[in-house]
Amino acid sequence: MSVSILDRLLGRFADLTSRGRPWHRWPFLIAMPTLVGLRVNMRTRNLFDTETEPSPVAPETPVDVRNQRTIDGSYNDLGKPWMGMAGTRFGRNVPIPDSFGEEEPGLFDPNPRLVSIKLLRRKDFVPVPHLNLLAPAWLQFMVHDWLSHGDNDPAVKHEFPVPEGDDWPEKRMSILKTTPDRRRAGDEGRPAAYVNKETHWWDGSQIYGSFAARQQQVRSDPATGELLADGKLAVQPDGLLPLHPGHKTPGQELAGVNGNWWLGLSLMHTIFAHEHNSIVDRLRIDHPEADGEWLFQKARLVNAALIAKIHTTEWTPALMNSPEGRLAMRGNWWGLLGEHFGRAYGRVGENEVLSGIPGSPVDHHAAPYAITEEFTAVYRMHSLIPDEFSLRRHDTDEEVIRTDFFGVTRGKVRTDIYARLPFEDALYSFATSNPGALVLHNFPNGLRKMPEAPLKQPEHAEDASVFIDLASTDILRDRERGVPRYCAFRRHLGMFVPKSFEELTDDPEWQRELREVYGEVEKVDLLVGTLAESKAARNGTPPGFGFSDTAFRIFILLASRRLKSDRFFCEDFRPEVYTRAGFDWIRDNNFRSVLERHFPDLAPHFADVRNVFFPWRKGQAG
Amino acid sequence: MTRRLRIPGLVDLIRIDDPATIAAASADARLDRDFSGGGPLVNRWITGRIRRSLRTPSAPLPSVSPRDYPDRAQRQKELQCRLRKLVEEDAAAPDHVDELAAYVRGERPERAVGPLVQTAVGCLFADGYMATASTWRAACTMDAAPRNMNPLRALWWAITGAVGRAQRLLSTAVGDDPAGVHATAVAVHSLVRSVRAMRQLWLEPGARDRIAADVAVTRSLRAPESVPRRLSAPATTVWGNLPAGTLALFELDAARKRNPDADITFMAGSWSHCPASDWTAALLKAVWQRACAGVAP
Repeated sequence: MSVSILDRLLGRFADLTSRGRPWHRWPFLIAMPTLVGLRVNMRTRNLFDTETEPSPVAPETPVDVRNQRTIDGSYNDLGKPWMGMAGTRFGRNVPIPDSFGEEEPGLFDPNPRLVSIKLLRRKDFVPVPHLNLLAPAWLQFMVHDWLSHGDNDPAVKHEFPVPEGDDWPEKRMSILKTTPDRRRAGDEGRPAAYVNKETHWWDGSQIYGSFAARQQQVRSDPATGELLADGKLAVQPDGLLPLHPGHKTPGQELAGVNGNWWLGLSLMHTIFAHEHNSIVDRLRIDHPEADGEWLFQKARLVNAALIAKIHTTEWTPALMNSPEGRLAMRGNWWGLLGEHFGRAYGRVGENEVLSGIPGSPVDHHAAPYAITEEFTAVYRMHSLIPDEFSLRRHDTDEEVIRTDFFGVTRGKVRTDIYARLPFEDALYSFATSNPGALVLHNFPNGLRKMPEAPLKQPEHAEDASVFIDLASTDILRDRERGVPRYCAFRRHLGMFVPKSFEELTDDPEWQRELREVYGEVEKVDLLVGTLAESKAARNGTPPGFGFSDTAFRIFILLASRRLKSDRFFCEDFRPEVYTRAGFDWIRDNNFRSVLERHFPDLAPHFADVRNVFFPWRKGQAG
Repeated sequence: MTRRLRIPGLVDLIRIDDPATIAAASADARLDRDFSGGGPLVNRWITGRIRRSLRTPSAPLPSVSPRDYPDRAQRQKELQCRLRKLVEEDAAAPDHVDELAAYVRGERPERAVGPLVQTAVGCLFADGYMATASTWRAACTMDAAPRNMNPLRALWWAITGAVGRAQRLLSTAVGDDPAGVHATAVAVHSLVRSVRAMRQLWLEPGARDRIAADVAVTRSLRAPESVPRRLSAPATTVWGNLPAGTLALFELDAARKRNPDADITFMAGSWSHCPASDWTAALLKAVWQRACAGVAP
């Protein structure tokens, strides 16, 4: 890695401007170079590798690794073929010595359940009026592409008493510990590291799977079990995903990653399975002689890139609804020169700032590419989920189903929802409902007391004696994995660090509640701090943003890193690898066109919205 | 990350903070601590200052002695054995742990840490060593001299002979032992930064209840910010062709953030390893434990 003189100047500039006030309180012309400078600095200061000797070994693979993605993500970086592979470790955004997991008794201070009750429990649903429910669905669709800590050992648990007066069964809470990676020779003196069970790359692995057996399943005819010869993904004649054969939950749909399944994921997976198949059809026109394997691999490349483009240029700008936010994210894809200039004249040199990251040279900056634990932590956004879902017909807006979150999860997506409501109507319903805001007191209560049986033992789904509090789990996960608490986290990112609850949030009621639970501002958990700063005008969430400035700092680093480290978005983002038709497909499509292609009847509902993650126009009754 | 600053004839300097690169470079026999000989102008200016500053009145400090300097390896080994024995006997610095623990708990003023640590280190080389404001000031002068970029301060030091006086004062205090002078004048600053970091960690609300003593040591331990090497023969490397006289700075404390292993913090796997690695870790652990024991549960 080398840092250019321009980058150094921008980094210094960001250091200078950040001393006085956060980037979003400067005028646009100062805020933008500050943002670029912040990214330069974080690329140098906030990327840390957790892999040690002996390094992971990428398995031999018979496929053409220069021109296609491997199933497990190996050979993306041809110099270090293991980089980003499924089964390699999460990286870090804070120095290694500062990433040791918390230990008892401080691990339970304050009690995670107390935090859940006093600070996270939803009182009244606080919506984000300018977004629709496709936004959280997309978010989880992406998260399943990037990361999974996998299953935990059911015998290894955190156990702690719940606060007095809590009605939690047996007055004790137990949460499974995250299973760390086995220790290696080079791990002495280092904190535990955790393994990402999925590929770290932005490669559509949630659709295609990170393992050969799962990929074989999603590419096979559900009736015969035979691999589809045409290179397509399996879709039922009614347009829905096939059911997962032999799955313990009746009605569970099949996908590359189908854990924590709910209607939102089902919508996204179904849309992009159809999109894959449309890409195959298009490629076959130009390459009639190509076999199904070649078509599948090329369509996968194109589909993954289109998803990355949608996330970068549509989803994220919807959540960062300000001129700076939009320019920053669209700039990642098209550069400051913009989409129209790129279409007309192509790239101007290799500079990512001018012409965007796709097509620029790969750079891993200060560490080999990996999704980080801190990224996982700031993507804890369960508050986006409402407690109630209203599912309606798109033509009349008539409500057909009203249900809680569990009514739209797992096998019920098929047995209860699609059995009564067409897919298009479910999609319309999500697009015309609002997600929850990322603020305190807005964590869905359904997720704070979830019966464990439907998850672990679906055959005894009616058993409601053991529960999970996802809010407590979220808090404990960051602590056990050594993600610094809010103040320390911001210190590591070079951000303003509040010295009091008054500096953390402007809401006097929240200040009082935070003081009551934490006592000291330095103890505030990262998740709680990011939610509390939503009401901090001076150093908190930027105007128009759906998430905190603290989370945003990690996003500006990782959002570009997912592209900048990936050979298929950089040096090999070219027609020779993607095919001319595939390359044009990425250039010419977005989420709107994908929806228009597959659900033309819904097009009038989103014809007038600037961004399809904004609420669609509702159907007219009568 | 490796950055090279090169202006032909003027300066040729490589700064390395990548742990693996540091490990590889430190094993390269051409990168040594022989700071004599030619090179670009600024390089010669820097090496001259290193030679003049980091020495006793009679000999260079061991931290800037070439690999084949007479008796260097033997003395390094002897000192390491002596300090290891203290660790094994659980006697790293028994008379000083209480005071250092009180500092860590915030019961001593910030300025106390320098002399406190210098006393603990000095006693390893001279019985009854007692740091004073003068010895601490001398240590600060000797440490700053090779890196000083302030011409006014350099002029002042030249006029007053401050650097020579500091060398004599610290040398006398440890019986003219170059290792003792290095420890009380140069290495002491890394330990001071470590104890300061430990105090910061201690004072962070809730932090001490979340970490074990070993973790507290790892989080507190600071490595020297940079250690210099000079290329004694031309070399072809990934950074280009490096002529003899090129200076390399191993930025150990930046590398420690990526790899907190002793191989980086103390260069434990290298010929130039710090003989006090075990002692330092043992002292810090004892201080943390004493600090914890000193408060009501």
